[in-house]
Amino acid sequence: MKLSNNVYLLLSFIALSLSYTLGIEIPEKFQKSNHTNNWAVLVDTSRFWFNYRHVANVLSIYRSVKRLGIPDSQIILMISDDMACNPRNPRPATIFNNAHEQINVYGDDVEVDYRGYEVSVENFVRLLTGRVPPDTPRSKRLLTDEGSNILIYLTGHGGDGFLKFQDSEEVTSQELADALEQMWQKKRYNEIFFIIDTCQASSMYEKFYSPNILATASSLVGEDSLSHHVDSAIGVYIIDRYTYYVLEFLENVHPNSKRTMSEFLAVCPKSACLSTVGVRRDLFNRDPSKVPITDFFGSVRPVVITTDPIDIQEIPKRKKKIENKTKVQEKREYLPQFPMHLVQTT
Amino acid sequence: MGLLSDPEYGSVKWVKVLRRVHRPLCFLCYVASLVWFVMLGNREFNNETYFSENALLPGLVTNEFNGEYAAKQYYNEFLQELKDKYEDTDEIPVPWLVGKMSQLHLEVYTHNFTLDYPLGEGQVYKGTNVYGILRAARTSSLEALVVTAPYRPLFSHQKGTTAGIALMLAFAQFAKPQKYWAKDIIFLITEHEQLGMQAWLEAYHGLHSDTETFQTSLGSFWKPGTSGLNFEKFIPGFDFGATHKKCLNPGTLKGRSGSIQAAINLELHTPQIKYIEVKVEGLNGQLPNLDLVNLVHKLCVKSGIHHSYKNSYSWIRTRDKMEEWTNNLWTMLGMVSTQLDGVPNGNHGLFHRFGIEAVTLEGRDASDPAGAPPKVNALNTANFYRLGAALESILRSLNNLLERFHQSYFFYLLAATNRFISIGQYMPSLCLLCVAMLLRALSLWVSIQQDVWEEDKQTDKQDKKTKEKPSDSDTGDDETKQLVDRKKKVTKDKHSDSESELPGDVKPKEVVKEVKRKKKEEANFSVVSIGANYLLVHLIGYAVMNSPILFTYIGAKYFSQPSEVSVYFGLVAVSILLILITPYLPRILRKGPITYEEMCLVNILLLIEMATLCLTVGMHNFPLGLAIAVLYTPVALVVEVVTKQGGRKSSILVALKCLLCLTAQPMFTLTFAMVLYSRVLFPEEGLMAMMGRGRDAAMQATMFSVADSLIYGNWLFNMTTSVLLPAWIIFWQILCNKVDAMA
Repeated sequence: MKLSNNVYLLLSFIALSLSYTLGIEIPEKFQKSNHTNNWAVLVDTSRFWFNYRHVANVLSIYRSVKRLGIPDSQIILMISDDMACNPRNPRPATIFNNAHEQINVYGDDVEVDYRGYEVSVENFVRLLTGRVPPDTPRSKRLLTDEGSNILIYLTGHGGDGFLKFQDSEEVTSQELADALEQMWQKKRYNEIFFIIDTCQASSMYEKFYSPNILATASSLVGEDSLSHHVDSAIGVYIIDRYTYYVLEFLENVHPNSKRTMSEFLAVCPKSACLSTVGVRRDLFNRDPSKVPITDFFGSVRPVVITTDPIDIQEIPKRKKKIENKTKVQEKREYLPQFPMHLVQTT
Repeated sequence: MGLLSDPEYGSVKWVKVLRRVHRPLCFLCYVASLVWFVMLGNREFNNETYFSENALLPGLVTNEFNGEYAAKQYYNEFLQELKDKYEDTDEIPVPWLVGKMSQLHLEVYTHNFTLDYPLGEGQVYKGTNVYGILRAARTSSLEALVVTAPYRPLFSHQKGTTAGIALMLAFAQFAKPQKYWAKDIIFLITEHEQLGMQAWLEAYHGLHSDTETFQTSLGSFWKPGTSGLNFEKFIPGFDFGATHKKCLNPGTLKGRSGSIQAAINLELHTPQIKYIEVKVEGLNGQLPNLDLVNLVHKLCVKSGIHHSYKNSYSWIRTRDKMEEWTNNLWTMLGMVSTQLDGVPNGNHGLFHRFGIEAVTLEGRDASDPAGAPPKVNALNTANFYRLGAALESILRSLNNLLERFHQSYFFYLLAATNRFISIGQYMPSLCLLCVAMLLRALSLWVSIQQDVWEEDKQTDKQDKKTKEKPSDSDTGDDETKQLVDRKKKVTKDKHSDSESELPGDVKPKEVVKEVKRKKKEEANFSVVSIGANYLLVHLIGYAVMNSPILFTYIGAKYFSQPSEVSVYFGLVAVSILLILITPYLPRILRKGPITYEEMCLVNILLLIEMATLCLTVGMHNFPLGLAIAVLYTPVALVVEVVTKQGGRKSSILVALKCLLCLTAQPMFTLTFAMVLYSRVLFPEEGLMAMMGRGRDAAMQATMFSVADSLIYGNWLFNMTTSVLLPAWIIFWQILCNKVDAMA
């Protein structure tokens, strides 16, 4: 993490010097935001051939976030079953998202971090809260910090207040809410965008109580999330409706596009989804219509390299940061992303 | 036991009510049961079928079957081969089949088996099965599906299966290059109908004739190696016990695949069939999982093939509720009659015992021996393309299975191709019949108890008039006592002028005294003698169960009769012998005369035994349980202990009861049913011819049930002889032994 911090520090200095020397205006949102890096946790909780669509769902999102700039090292992909190599798959080593088989979401370089029976409630909660065994490899850790925006995407079979993992266990909405609170207290995120595509999906975010979470779900309590269509060549339901339309939307998003989160939240109207997409905004401080979609789906920022020296002024005393509502003893702090106090602003 | 030994027992309200109303109540139960069964046919009382198993994904995949031409070619070649070389032999054309399968690059094996026919003079039948395994390319061979067809020679009286075999080969050709198989597919052609199938299954599952496995213990109640009746002592050279275990020698298989998940049996005589009959009934009435049955019906619809089950035809959907009801009822009755004898109606039936779900698809056309359904001529004929497509989609759906069928129902009745009745819905019908018997048993029990209690009370009154009442009696005791006494007087008065219908009722005082005197003279309640009689009768049943081989031996040696004649007449002779002898058995076992209570106790035991039998049999094979219950509940309710004190009217009644009981004798029932059946089939024949036909049919039926019991493990014969026959004997004993009435 230190490394990435340094990278960001460097980046910020570069940007800083840029603004200083060339007099480029740094956007206010950019200045004030604590957002420094992006992570994604993408989970498919169900196994078996007839749940092909859930794997297609999660790989669709994976494909999009990767394309929009989150590197594999910051994507934790959990997939319960290997559909591409299932002997029943008439198109071996591929997973498609629609019957025309245009997009092979399995692609060429999928890095699955947790697979098969590793996808369990315990591993999921440990991953989120960072309480992993010391010998856990880096690829299986969620190394987020105070400045991380995390995209959490879950798909599988759910019910009112729970999400089934494999065929043996469930995570309840309360457990999930507690895990997120723990993350907040441990300063493991800046903002979270939570997407869930299951039956009765909205029940999963109803218990959340930690700040800075924007949540959306494919269906309300009492509704089923439906599959989009069958691929009769493969002989399975190929993708779920919500994720199908999400992918359709994301395919037209580029790292530079100005799409906002509110557009994303309206991606699947009831006429298309057949279920009502649920959104929870009350924990989220910002207005989704002003949040660019790349805040959660991408992490590429424009970078301009300068060769001019940077003149750093005297360093004033740091202001004490405002305490969290949760009143936890703070051990460490990060510097504000842009040390604006060091720079003469125009 | 607190309730049963309660001194105030006789005066408890429900006991009185029970004693008064148990007869109408039992009758009501009986009628209610039949009404319930009839109601099950109604749309409101049965359910639409549905899929429970998610993994099946039925019909989602496009059909790619393109083997129509190949199937036609195989069909013609196979027919030509049979005409050229197998015209007058019943041998299976092994070289041709092996050749064709090898050309398809299947792993081809042959399997030899031997049957030492148990009921003959050492006839030995040999047979050969041919099977080819298509290995799933991308998995290990842990699971398998089976496509099978019985081989039938050209001159067989049954419809041929050549089209089925041709289709199977064409399908194998189509399936071989496909890369989506997650399970091996075994293509199996069996000889000698069910015998070959049974041998192959036993060999596949590693059951050998000499090992003590569930097969041998299921096959008969005789376990090889157990000491029991050793007839060799009596008849030297007669191998009794060994015949049970060496009946069918399944041999060994040279090649195996994994555990079989499901099997489809094809009986198609021609590709130009009109419709497919889906046969489900297996050994001992076992059924395949309802999911598989639904799957087959649904995929027939999808592939454009007409399909049917019994009286329910997919192309006829009536809107008239009454008509639908009667159709459903006929379908249910058809299913009941097929399951009743426990004989599988196709090769699929033998799979069920191994936990493998299987159905038979039988092709039928307008001129089928099963009768022509309405509007059959208007139907389009099927062809190899459609049949192949149906087979393909069924197998691809089965290929998706992740575990054995376990979701849907295993116990059900089908009311139509798309309607079913679950075990929870049909069991009340059987339970009501058993409740009738148990109610009768309970009322008998309380009547004995009350008699004893009343007696005690009288002695109490005489002896301990001055003594104090028991300390635990409450203040109301006196009043109740008086009340009961008064009531007793009333009943006595009522019964003194008219003779009693209920022997358990209170009798005139003199009789009471006499009985009491007797009772004091001897310990007149001997459980041992009842028990001994009970045990002996059941031992007789056990002996009868094991007798057919002996009869065959005797018949062949001394009368040179064929096995079926000797078995049938042997059993008839035994029946007559038992009718004559068994009434004296309890008297032999007992020194003094049998008392009323003892007889009552026997009756109670018997009723409980019958109810248990019906319920346990019904749990496994509902139609059989129901049939036994429907037939024997009236007998069980009518039979009661006969007292010497009865008048002329009661003796006529007893004679009628005896007659009823005789008609319920298993052997008699069978013969009678067969005579009736032949009357229905051939109404033009005279009485004697009809009787002859009926006798022959009964002979055949007996022989089949014995042979099935020995070879396949059908327990109809075992159950009838070892439980039903003893029960009947005890009914007969109760009716034929007059006892002294008592209070």
